[in-house]
Amino acid sequence: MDNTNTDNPYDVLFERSLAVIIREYGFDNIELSAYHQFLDISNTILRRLLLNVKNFMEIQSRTEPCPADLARSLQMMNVKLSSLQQTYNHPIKHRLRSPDRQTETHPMKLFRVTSTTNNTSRKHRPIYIPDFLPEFPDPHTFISSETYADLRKDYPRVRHLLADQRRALQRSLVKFKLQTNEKLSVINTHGTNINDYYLIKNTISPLPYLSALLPQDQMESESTETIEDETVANISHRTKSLSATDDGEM
Amino acid sequence: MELEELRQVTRSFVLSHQTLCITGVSFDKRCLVGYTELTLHPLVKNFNVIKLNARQLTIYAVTINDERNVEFSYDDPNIQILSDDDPRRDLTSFLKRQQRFFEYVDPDEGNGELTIFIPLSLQQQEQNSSTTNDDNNNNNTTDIVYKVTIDFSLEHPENGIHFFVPDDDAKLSRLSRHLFTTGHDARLWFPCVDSYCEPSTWTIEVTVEESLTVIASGELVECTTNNELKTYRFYLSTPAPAPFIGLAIGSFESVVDSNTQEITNYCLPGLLTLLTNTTSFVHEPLEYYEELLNASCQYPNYKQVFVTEPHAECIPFASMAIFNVNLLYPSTVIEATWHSRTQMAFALANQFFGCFITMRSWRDWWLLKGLALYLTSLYTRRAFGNNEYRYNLNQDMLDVIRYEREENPIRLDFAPIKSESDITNVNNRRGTMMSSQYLEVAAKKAHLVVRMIDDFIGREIMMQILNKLMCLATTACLKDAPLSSRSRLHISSKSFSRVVSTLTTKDIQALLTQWVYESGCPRLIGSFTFSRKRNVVELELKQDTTIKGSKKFLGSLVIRVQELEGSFSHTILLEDSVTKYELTCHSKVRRNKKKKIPLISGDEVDMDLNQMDPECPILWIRIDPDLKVIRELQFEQADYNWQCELRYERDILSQFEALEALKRYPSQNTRETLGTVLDSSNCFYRVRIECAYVLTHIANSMANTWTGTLATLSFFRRVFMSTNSTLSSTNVTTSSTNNLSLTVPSANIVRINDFSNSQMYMIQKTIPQAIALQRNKDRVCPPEVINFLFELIHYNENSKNRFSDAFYRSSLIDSLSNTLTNIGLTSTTTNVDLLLNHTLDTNTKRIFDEILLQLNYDKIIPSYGFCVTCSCLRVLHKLNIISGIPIDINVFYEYASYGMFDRVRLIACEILVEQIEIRMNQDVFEYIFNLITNDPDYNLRHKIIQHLCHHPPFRQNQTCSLNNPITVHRLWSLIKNFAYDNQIRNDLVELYQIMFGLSRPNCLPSLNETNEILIKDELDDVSDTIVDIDPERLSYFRLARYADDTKAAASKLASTSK
Repeated sequence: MDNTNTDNPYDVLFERSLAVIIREYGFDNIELSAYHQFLDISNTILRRLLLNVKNFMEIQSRTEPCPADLARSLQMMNVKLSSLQQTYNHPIKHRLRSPDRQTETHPMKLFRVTSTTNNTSRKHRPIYIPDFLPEFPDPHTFISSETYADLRKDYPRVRHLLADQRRALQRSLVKFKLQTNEKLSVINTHGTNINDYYLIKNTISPLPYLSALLPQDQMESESTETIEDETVANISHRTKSLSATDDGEM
Repeated sequence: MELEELRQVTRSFVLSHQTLCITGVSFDKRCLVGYTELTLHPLVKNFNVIKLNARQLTIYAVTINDERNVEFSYDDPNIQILSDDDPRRDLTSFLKRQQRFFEYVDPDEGNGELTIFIPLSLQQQEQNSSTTNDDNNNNNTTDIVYKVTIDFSLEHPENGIHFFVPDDDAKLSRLSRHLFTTGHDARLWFPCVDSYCEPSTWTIEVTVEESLTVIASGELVECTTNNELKTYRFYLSTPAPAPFIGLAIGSFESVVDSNTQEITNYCLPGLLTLLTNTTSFVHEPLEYYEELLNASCQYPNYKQVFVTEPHAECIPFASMAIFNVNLLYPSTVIEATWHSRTQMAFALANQFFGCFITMRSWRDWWLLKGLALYLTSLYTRRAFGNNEYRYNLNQDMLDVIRYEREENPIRLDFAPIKSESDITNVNNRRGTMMSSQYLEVAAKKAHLVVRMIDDFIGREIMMQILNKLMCLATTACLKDAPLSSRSRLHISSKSFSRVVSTLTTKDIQALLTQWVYESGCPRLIGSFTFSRKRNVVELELKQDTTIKGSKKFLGSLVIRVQELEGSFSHTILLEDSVTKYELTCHSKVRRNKKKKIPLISGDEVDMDLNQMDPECPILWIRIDPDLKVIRELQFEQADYNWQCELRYERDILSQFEALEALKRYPSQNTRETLGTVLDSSNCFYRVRIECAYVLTHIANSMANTWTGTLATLSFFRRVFMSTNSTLSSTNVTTSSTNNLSLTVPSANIVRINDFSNSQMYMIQKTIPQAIALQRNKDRVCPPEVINFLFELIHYNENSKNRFSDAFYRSSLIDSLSNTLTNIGLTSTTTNVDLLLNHTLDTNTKRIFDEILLQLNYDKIIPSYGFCVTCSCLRVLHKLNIISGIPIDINVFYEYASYGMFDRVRLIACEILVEQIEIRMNQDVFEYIFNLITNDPDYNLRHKIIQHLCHHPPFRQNQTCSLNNPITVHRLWSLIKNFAYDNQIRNDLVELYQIMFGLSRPNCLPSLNETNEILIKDELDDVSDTIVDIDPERLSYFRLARYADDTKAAASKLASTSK
């Protein structure tokens, strides 16, 4: 397209919207010539389509086009309506990016004093360095070595921490509840009052099955919930589609 | 043929249609008001009395064909079997009277509680019309139709209908109010012919508040709303007998099955997600049964309702089923699936055999129960696999054998006992009078017998026969089918064997005689020797007929011999108590031991034959490998044979047999074999679990010579724990003291839970329990094992798992309880402080602390079904009994009180019952009795009594502080007062028999003579009123009854006999 055309506001709009669509399909960058070809093709297709619509409209002796005309002309142009629906329903989410300059991430350097560091080695320096130059600084300022935590040793530690936390949580929760709720002595004390063993008193529920059958212990992991929701949704979806086909058959 | 069978029943009319209309339901008052209209066709000439069944109802008025206020009488003898001032306390007389009273109201004898006298004006009409016909044939009299309308109400029912009404007024509680039918005693909630062989079509109309939903048998044809009241109208076009009419009312939430529109599921508010998950499979068994029987389900739809506090887990009705809400489970729970699905498949099987095709009388109970279970097991076999099926089958057989040996031989044919002296056990009586325990085992036996019939005639023919029965029954459901064809809807043992003999040339009569009409099962003792000279196996089979419940078996038996050259089956004929057989051997002793050995499954395996007797080519022998006979088996072969069988045989039953046998052979070889099987991943998981138990058993019996860690423990470490650095081995051995293992992270840590492989999950769950049973030389659990278990609990990490670990945690707690022993406990101190802080073993104290923590934690964050709480309570009980920690009994009362979840309550009650058994505590006994008398949850009452039967405080009048007149009185009055709940009464009677025997309890003073004479007179009186069932008298009686009332007829009979 020529630059003169860009003055036309329709063309500007058209150009920009096409650019947006292309971007939507995941292109961040496009060469100008390719883009112009795109514009030409789209223009032709649209023009053809509108011509067809117009023809159909006239055949039907109408003055305004209706959706059926559009559908018909699209079919004439070998476009499947279902595919349009699909395109509409499933916009492409994945984006292609132009290969950008990757910034190299350097592993963080950890400095430490190695065992070789001692006073004797500091004095030692290569012969090509003249004497008048100053001494090398302390080795730990420039010798870098990468350290990795020993994962094999770490795994048990992580598990241990996790388990300890969980148990501590359990204990403190129980302790808290024991202090705030009514409690019940487990040991038959025979009158003596030295007793550390208590149970939380039960709260009688009118519908005890609800708390028993809908346990809370699994709620913390969200994945199960979403799975459940999905299955429920699937099932309702299936029933819908089933009933739909049934109606159709009838 | 059909008419003949109809005549067998002495009812004088046929019921063609019944309308049940419930016009009002009140949850606050717990009552129902309604009327029912029966359409009757008289079968006899002088039809002047109609007898119907009705109990605990108030009858307001009876109308016949627009004739209002017809005279009727209402007499329910079962309310009070013995009068209050009757001093007798022996079961014999009680049972006699109970049996007579049952006959007195038995609809199949033409009796009933409600007697309606047809007015003379109507009788004349009838006579007029019949005189116009020359024939006096029954067919013509059916032209006259009586429409009997009965107005009734039901208030505060004890049984039949259960009202669940929570006490509080919260919105959810009000929404959760519901009512439902509790069983098959239709007479308890509406007047009817309460017989299994009187099918009729039904119209059920229920008017309720707008917010409620009604679910009833039949198809919903109309639903109208009027002034905030909604009327549901159901029509059941497939004839069904009254006991199978079900009803449920409540604000249920519902889900239509996604695959089959005909199936709808209902549950209480708040449980919809569980319902969707639990019932997603229901179309599968339905499709399977329809394909199997080549016949479609005759009901237009099928409804499943999940309610609280039903009397049984699963109660099937025509076109619907009522389940316990506890069967619902979320998708995160693994183990609930098997049980729930089996129950639902069973209810569905009943829609074919059980509710649709029914039993003719209680004598045929076994056939229908067996057929329904047979279909269920065919489905579960398909759904859960052949191994699971065979395992369950084997378990059922073991249960049956154990019950017959220890409790009471089972005779499946519940025919009435001829002479009263035959009552040797409460269960040797009519079908409605059996204890639930007996019925439960009898059902298993019935299934095994039906399976035997299937084996005998062949699967294909069996299916043809069932299809034939279904087709015949279907024709009776057609709109214009004559009434007499409805007899096709019920079958009996006789009619079934007749169908079998017409369709095949085989006669199952002998089989029925052996297993149905008679009780007992054979006990086979076998051994073999190999004769090298003649190359034959000499097999000897003995039948032990001396023990209780044994019965000689004559018939064919399959013997399978695994030889070096392959597996060979022989069929032998058992003819005598001791029989010897010679089975020719197909293999020669081999020199070349490298060759592969073919198995029955077609596999060829390499075996290590070094242990083998070089002179004998027999690897192992199995008797009756496919469980074709109900038998107890004791077979002798060398330990090497058993080891081989366990390791190489692919049939799990064989492996279980071998495992059982290997318990007797503790040796290094056995240990190795068990270790290999435990390790082999292609083995069925139940075999591997059992293997772990046997391994522990072997280790315990070899405790003195045992070296190294238990194979189970190292297996568990290898499979379920993180693989690890060199530290681990040293750490395991050094961490034997408590403090060390707590502070230093052990290198071996159980992996975070991943239960996606359900078989591995079951193994991971159960093996700690087996390990915990290990005992060292001092007969206590090694500290290493206890530490191991504590580590499992400590490091249990479930956050990344998509399944719930509730059952795994509860299993770990069970394992802790398995470690408890009473060895080394010598202190008898009463000082609690001293005991807990000093005397008590540190490990026991640690367990105690852990249990309290878990118990409290489970209260804050409940596990599914409170399974952790259940396990903890059991351990607390064990700590009390074994370790002597003085647990306050109030703890168990606390968990047994109403308002807790019912499984927890049940466990707590069971513990209380066991406390009575051990401690003889009068207060606890009183508490339990109060629960049985007053508890709102009937199912719990049943279960407590059943548990009491298993753990009675004393048996057969043993001396015991509880064996006193107060107990007798208490129990006796309970038996007397449970007039409406037969099953509870039967169970109580069984308990009474266990505790005191059939005659008068010894702790009571003997009756003096004058009383006895008085009693005898009274008994004679009774025996005259209710006539015995001998055929001559019966025929006379039948004729006489229609002329006059029952009592008049009886007195006439008495006078003629004089």
